[in-house]
Amino acid sequence: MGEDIYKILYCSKNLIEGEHAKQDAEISQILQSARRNNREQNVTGALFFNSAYFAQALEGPKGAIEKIFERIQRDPRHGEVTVLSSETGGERDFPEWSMAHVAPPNETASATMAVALNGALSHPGASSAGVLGLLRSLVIQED
Amino acid sequence: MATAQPLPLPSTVIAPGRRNQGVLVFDRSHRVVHASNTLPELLQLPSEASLLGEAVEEIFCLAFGEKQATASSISQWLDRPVTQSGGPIEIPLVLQTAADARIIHATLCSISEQFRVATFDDGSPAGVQSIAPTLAYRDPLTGVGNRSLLERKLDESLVRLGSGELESVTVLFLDLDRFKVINDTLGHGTGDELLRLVCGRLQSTLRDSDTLARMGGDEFAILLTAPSGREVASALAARIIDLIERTYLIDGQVMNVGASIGIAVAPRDGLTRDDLLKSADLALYFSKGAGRGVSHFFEPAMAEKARLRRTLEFDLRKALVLRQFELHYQAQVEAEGGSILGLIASLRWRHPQRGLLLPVEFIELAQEIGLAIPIGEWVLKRACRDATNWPDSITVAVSVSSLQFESEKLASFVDHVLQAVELPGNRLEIGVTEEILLRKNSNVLKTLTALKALGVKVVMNSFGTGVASLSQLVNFPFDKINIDPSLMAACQNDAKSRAVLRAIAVLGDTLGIATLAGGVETSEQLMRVRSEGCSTVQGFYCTKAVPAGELASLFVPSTPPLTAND
Repeated sequence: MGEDIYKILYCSKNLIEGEHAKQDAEISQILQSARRNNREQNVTGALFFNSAYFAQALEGPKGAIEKIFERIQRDPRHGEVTVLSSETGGERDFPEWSMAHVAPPNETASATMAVALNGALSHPGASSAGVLGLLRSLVIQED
Repeated sequence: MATAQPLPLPSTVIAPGRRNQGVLVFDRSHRVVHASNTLPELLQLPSEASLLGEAVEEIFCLAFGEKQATASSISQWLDRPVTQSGGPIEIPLVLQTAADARIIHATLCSISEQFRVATFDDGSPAGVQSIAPTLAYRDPLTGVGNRSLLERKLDESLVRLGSGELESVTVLFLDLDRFKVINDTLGHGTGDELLRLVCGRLQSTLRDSDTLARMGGDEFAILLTAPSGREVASALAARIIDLIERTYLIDGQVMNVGASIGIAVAPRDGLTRDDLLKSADLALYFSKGAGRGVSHFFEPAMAEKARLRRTLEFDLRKALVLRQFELHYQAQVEAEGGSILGLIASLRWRHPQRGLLLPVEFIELAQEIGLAIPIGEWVLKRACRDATNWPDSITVAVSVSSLQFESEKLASFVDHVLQAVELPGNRLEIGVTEEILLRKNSNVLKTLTALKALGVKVVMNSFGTGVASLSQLVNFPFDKINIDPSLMAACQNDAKSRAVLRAIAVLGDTLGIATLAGGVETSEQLMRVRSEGCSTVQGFYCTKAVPAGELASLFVPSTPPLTAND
């Protein structure tokens, strides 16, 4: 490899309309295509969503991340995209996941995530570590 | 911006537009910037929109299979240097489609330092002709259409509008906000890449029948001809603004720009190309003035407003030479004794048709057209000369704009003026707004210090309303704080405002800085200012602003203005 790992974390408002079932279908389609593309490009990460928010961590070669991010930016299914952090170097946070689906195991975890994202959207920078920490802990709980 | 010099074009490449031919334009990093709409069918690929931004190698892989795509002949073909002596490069190659094993003749040529074109033909010899006309309509930096393309398409659309074939023709003008800062600070390479990403995002919002063109710099135009009401255009504009404002990641940097949009619709807003483009431009100008990040449809009133502004600009450019500016003076009066301490200069423009104009009516325009500094210098010079006619005890106060501060010449200019009119430095007060102190620019402090060294008194204007914090009063030894008149007005009914007034007076007293209360209009306000401890007052209650020629009566020592009214 040799190349440094580039990592970004963003959150955005969920603009997918309709029932839970329709949302779930859209998300599983997003996850599927993300996993297919990411594996080829050595990109890993995690995606959280609820009815209000998305949060996604992406990590991998810089060129690939920037290209994927640009494609994500053009997606009409979300809005108000806020980049919480971007950094080069360090270890992958989600080494085993081409794109982990972060599903909070219970109401409390879901509410904690929503509060963290709400805070992150109003004060970018301040709570990015919190969002990332939550993503990581929730991925592990899902195992 | 890198302007790639187009190379002479090969004479026999395949033109796009026919079913059995296709064109792919890609940049130096092998990313697709244009794909003809025939390409998906010809090479059995997904729709052309999704090809944009892809690596050309990936497309080859999809079309011709991994084995052919990874052959060394292909990579050599793609990497072939673009500039060689001896004319245009034109390299042929024969390939076989992965989907149905058809033979495809591919030709590679370079159109500029930046771009290469691959053309594909499934064997029909009929389509051999020059692609030069197509490339003449491409913007070499981004690969989208250029101004010529937009003009040609617009002309065609207006003809179709005239014949009744189209109901309306809509033009969106788009201009990036804050692009210049990125281009200047992060380099042209980053700026160019940002423009390409912007084009990609714009393209992703459009239908096949819409035309996107880069008009130059960071300005783009979109032509809509499909039946579309104002709602469609305004929804598209909102979507574009949202998309453009989203964060960009370029080479490890995170950046943001904004977009302002003006919309004009034919036949309503113009029937000719020039009229319609002018209307769209005026609407864009209006959007930029209305706080940016918004879109507006053209309104006839915008044209009228622009006409008035042009007239005012024309007049303003002549005003200095024709000596239409004058200074009026308002007294600064000692709060206790009532004697005049100094006079504050304020600018007036005696417009030949519109009468006496206050600065608020023309200063913003003067700044926009680069006249703020010459006018500011005239004010300084004139005020200092006027002051030489007054008693020695009376100072003259002049407000200086932040633009003047940025010019870095302010202190030497003031020095020059003081010497020329033989006015002692301590009779001049220079007023600055608190906003200039917030600039992260060491020149401001340097200039302020240089002014003090001349003996000039430095005053903070409009204190108590803006963003400055009290700590800024400590950073520089101000001679005086001018409390904003609005605070005086608020004191009437508001105990909190009175507390602020009192706090500023105490602060000034403690730091040894004089305090001037502006906007004193009633005897009650005068009493309050005295009791709160402000040292100097100014306002209609003392004197109104009068022309320099009418000042003489103020200087009669026996009748200080305040005692006369007390």
